[in-house]
Amino acid sequence: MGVGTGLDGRLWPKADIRADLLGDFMQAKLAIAAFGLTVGCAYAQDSRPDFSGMWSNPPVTLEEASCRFYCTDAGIDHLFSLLDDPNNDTRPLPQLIDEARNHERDEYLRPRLTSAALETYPLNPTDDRSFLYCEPWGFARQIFAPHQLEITQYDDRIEMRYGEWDARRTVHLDAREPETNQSATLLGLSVGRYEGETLVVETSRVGANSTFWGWAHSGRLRAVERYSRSDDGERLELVVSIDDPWGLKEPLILKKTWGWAPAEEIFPYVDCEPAEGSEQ
Amino acid sequence: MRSLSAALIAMLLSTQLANSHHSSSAIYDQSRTVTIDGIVTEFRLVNPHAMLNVDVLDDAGDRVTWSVEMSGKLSLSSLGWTDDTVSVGERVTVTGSPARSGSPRLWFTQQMVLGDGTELLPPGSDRLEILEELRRQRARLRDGQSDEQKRGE
Repeated sequence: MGVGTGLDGRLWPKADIRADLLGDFMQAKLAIAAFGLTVGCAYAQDSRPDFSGMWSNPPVTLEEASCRFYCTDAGIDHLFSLLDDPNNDTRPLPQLIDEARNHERDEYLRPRLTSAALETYPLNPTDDRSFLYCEPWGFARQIFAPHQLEITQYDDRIEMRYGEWDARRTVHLDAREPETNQSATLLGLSVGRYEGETLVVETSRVGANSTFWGWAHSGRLRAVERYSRSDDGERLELVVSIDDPWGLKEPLILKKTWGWAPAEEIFPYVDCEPAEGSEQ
Repeated sequence: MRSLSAALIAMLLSTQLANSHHSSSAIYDQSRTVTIDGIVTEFRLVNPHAMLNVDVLDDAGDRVTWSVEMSGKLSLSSLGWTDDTVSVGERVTVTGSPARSGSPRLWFTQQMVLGDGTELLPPGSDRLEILEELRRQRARLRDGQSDEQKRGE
């Protein structure tokens, strides 16, 4: 094996020069590819909707007056019909809000529940592991949690951090399918994609748990979340379709809104470690 | 779990209450209010719920430690609360909903008055006022449209 001069001026065995030249050629190709990727990523980053940052409770509006953790069109429409009736002008607003919520429960939620789910109503607080063991909420409650939601977008995933429970959730953007033997977890497996200005997240593999709408759900729950920003960018709007063949005769459509809140921060939970024997 | 006796449930509640994240209406009777007046022995601005312990003299002159539970740091910090908002040794008056069990516990729902006279309100206390104003605006709009319709007819 002879000796030659490499591109860097140092003496290298000739075979290594070829390797070095080849290496430089490959490096050049990689650099071009990397440049292309960078441009591509920059384009992708520019073209995808931007949800990153801190969101929190939205400004107080009548639309959300009847929404405790989530909204339904049935509840909102009923509250407005009550407000638009002059006969109700002297009734206290909390009374009208309660009536709208009862209407939502009886006319929207209850008719969509299976007999199996109806038997779980009302949920007993002492059946609730979050209540008993300080175990964080499951998916069906966490996605409607009040207060902060911090979103960080990456090329391959989105990280969501909630103020309530300091819960963290990953939305995978790689179109992965759940493995057949993948066990259920509190927050399930979430896979997302961008559709224009909307982030669509499909979630499955959620363990049976409690809900905010008053009935239990099974491990067969599946949800499709659609996140979008309002026209002025100040609000993050979520529309969720929740299906559960065990508990629902047809999907529930629930809504939630956050307001842009860059100054807010999330604090850790203190003295709220799940008790021994509880499951994460 | 539903087969648990009431006594066992009560025991579970009492042992888990301090660190559980629960529905306040399950523990506290929000149809009633109680006011306590005493000296702060502990204040912890934490999540999920902040806690205040207050030594109160009962009718017999005995000292009873009341635990005042409230929204967590998440909510209170947005109102400007810090670890120093309430000081140990300070006299406070707190009005809220008592525990259904009769134990000396309170859910801070109405007002807290500090030793220097500062009045503190729980998170969301201004929400109803804002909603009432929005309701009046909507009613005025509705009545105005109604008047226009009548004039048009």
